[in-house]
Amino acid sequence: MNDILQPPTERDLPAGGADRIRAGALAALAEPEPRHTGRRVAVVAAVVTTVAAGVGGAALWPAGGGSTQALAMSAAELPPELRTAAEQCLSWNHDQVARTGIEPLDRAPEVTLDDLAVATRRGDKSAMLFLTAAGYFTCDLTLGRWWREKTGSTNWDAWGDRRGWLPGPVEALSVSSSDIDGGEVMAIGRVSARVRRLVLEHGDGRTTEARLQDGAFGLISTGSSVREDARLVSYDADGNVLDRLRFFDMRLDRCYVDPAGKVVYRAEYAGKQPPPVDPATCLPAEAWRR
Amino acid sequence: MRIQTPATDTELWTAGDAAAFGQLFERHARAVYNHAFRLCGSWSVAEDVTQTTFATAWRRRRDARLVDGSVLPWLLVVATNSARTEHRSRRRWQALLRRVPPEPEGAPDLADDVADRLRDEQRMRELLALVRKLPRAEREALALCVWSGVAYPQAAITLGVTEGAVRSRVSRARARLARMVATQTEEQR
Repeated sequence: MNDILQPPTERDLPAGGADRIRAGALAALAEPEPRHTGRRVAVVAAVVTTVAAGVGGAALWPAGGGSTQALAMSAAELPPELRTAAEQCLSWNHDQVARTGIEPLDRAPEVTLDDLAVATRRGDKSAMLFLTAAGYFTCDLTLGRWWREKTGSTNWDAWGDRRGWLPGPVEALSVSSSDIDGGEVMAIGRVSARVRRLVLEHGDGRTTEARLQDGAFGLISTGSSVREDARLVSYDADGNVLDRLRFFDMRLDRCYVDPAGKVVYRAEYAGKQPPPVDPATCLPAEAWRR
Repeated sequence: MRIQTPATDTELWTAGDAAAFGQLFERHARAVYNHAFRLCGSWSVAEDVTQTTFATAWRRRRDARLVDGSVLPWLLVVATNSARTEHRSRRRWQALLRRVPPEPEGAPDLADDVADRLRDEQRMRELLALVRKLPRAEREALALCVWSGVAYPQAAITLGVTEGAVRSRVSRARARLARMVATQTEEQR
């Protein structure tokens, strides 16, 4: 095989991770055998065709096959199913806080339901964003109604010097999709004050509009047509395009500085030592407030 | 003298209890974990996919297809399906990057391991950027047969297609990738 197509060498499961994975997998043995094999696929694949944006109250759309999608921009908008998911996320946050370090920048921010900025749900999959003065906490999870499984992942970061600044007009903090390169997608994150519209261009001519509120955005794609070359396009109040981010590759390829010239975001780099940054080559960070 | 031979996959699968399933996990988790990594390009997501794969395998145990006495090909197909729905936030990977400690003096093992895994992820992301341009059937056949070493006849039975179809998918995938690499190399000159 051509060397360029040779994947990295195989590795063992990480020591602690192996025990966790084994315990999680074996937990399935305690569950009753499902009566409807394949039902989960049918539910997840159910197509929901309407997204109402900017409407007060929980946006909840019943659809064929019992699938629903919801997009809430605060705890007050949470429908019951999302509240259950939010409580699971808070539980994981509690565990995370207990496990992380005592230094402010090493510690997962402790969040409450009042910190919920965005919550999205499609079928049995949900994603949440909590924003606090110390940092952000995201959570995406599956709450299977039939198999009672709870799986998911969390991500967090302490703001440090970055709370008031964004790397450009839009910062996606969690992106998930049904397929590895498209399908149905959900995204949540932050936007600067000059962003008045945020639109996902699916790549096939279709679009989905995000909901914006208090510096946060939430988006659930309309249908499952999102392609690998989808773009997240932000507009100002006059309808001018501010940015066109590649939805499936939002890595920072530039650095950003605050007005004092201090580097607040570095280009993302996977090597052992990041290269030195020349602030003169950076773009100005965008102010963010909530 | 009694010689104890290890139980076969078929015997363990048929036993259908926690101890047997645990042995199957020990036997195949590493292969599933690495297969998942090659599909999604993230070691942390590969952990999630591995867990989901074994949980799903247990729930769908009546659908399992053991090929030549091995459950591994079927587990890898379950992992492939799981990886499609377990595509997690890339922010998680990015946040990990930001938290990678500077290389310490003396280079402790853990820091090296984290750095090596990050390099794996970078390498795999570059590779997946090409592979994801292939039709899904071709890239999944490539991952199953070329990267994870499942024989064509076993892959065919597991996927429920003919051996010729599997060979054809892998062959087309290789040809397309070779063209992509050639074009990429040409553009870089």
